[in-house]
Amino acid sequence: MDAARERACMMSMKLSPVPAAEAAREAARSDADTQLMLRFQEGEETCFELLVHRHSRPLLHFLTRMVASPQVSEELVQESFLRIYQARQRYRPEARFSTWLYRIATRVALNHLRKCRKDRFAISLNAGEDGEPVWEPADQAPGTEEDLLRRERAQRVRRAIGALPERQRAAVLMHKYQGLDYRAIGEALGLSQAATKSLLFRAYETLREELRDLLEGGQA
Amino acid sequence: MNCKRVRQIISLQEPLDHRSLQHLEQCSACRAVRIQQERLDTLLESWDLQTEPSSRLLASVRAGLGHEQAAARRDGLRWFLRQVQLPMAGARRGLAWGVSFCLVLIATTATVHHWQAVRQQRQAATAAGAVQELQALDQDSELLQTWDMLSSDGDAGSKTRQTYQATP
Ligand SMILES: [Zn+2]
Repeated sequence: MDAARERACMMSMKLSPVPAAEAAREAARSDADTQLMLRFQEGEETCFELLVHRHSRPLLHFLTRMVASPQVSEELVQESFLRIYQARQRYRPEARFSTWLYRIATRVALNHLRKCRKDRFAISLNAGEDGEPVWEPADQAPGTEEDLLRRERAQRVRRAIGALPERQRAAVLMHKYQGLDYRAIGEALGLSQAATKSLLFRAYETLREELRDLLEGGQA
Repeated sequence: MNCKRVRQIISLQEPLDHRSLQHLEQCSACRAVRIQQERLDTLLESWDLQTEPSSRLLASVRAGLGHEQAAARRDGLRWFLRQVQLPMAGARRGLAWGVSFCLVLIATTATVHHWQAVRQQRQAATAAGAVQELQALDQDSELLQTWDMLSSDGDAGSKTRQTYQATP
């Protein structure tokens, strides 16, 4: 979608009258993505294209980290957007669009991982000791000692996060890399805020333990 | 404030309040956790993804949506056909019931008419029979009268009459 169309879509956005509701709900309603989603519900297909355009990159990164495969994650991004398309009439503006998006994407990812486990095609984050899965072409390029160290650290982080239980992994990825708050993470995982905090605390404790040598050596 | 609570605040990178800071001043273990968490934050950032969605991704999302829209249209068409077919089926059922009812009505009426006609014929036949019987009785009566007139003239006649009475 070109910039002019995007601008036109955003400019013509009308904010709905705000009822005396909670601040969070108001924030969600006034959220630009939420407005786009509401307009899409009314039949403006271009608004959905705009949402895809705005969210495909962060969603791709979330799912790539979640399932450890860029190829599979593209399919999962597609599936997530298709599910949103199918469920568009069930969307309610009580929550931010991004919260809804990550809830669906997390379910898609967890379903995929469960299916893989079931089919005994578990994706091993440690796979390819001699040749890592193609995360980023730059990772494979020869470089300076600093580059090598950076790659090794990234690999250790990837393995440590990949070794977390799936819900802890999803929570850390949403918290650390997607910048979602506890409420959104909790909604995505179907947990209360207290349970979300507890889940994240356990995940970070595990990561500190797993990466202790790097943290104590001061390599981070 | 206990160590667990302080470590939770540190892990979740929530702002440290006065009591947490006081605890940290006194607890070297929690201070070490705080340093480790800060290093962990930096370390996690080293897993940086630069991948962009491929042009194929956006195209496949669009293709998937096109397929989805086509499916929705097909569903719409199926729905419409269902809506059209349902009254037609109803009409066909109604027509079948109507025809069946008419056939039953016609058959019943014909049967009733037939039996009425048969009864009337029987009644007519019975009436005609009674008239014939009466006519026969009248003839017999005339004959008897004539017979009496004949028999009153001789013994032969009375003898014959006696014989007639003895043998009914
Ligand atoms: Zn302590």
